[in-house]
Amino acid sequence: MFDLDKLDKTIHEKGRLGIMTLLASRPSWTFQDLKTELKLSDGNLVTHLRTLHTGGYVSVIKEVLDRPQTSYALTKKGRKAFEEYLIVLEQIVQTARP
Amino acid sequence: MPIREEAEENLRIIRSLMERATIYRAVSAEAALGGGLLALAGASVLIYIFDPGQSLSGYARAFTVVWGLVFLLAGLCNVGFLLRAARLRGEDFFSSGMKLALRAMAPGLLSGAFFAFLLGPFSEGVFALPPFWMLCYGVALLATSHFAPRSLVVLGWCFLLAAFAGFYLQSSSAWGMPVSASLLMGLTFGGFHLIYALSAWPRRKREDNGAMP
Repeated sequence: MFDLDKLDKTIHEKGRLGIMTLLASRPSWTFQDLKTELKLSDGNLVTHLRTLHTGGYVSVIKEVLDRPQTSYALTKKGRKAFEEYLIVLEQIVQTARP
Repeated sequence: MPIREEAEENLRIIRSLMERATIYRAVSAEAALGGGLLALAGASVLIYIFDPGQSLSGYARAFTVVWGLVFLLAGLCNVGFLLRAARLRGEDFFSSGMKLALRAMAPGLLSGAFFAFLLGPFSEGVFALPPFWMLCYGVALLATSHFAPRSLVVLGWCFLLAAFAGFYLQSSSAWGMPVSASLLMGLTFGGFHLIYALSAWPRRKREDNGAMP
């Protein structure tokens, strides 16, 4: 049996997994683009982003261009955690293969 | 859900989101086919129906109108197919990928329009335009290279290299003339897009089949 404790519980939730994946694909994402891409409500997205921010996985960038805009990016810790999470997923698939 | 199935499901989600976030095809294969055929039709009309020997200024007007129409219809065709593709994927038309593509392509496309304005629409200066348009379009496509599929990047390089060849050929007396300008447009905007459509079609189907729910 695979040790489930190896899975990062902060990332191993569909909403947060989506956020981490998108943030890993580009340097930064605006709140609006994350919301559109993941089809999450404002409240859900805020909650997940707060959890990831508290865990040190996501940094917040507040800018005022023509209007205030909040963007999010992966921190070094977040990228490392995401890569490790991917490795664990692959190990699960490999070890559980008949 | 068993742990293995859950892991596979999560890997599928990751792969799907990564593809959607990192790959955006700004010119669809269907639109390239439509645009390529329109460009070939435009070039054929200018080469076989209009005669620059009768009136060079009349031919310049026809050149401007025909290519203006071809670009307009090809652009609308592309918007239509991108809209349909976005609906099929359940995404907004102005997705983050679309916004990225527009931002990346705008300088190149605006430069093409500027050169057309500078060299004078409806004047004989339009016959010098094809290499400029090829250069601007090639640069616009290459500006999307960090999120475009490989076939679109290759198309961008083809236009860029053809533009260099076009500028070189224009320096000789035989090129830069009305009929050769139409021929160059037909070969590049027509031929290149048809080849791109053929190459992108099966590859895109495979990508679709491999995509996530």
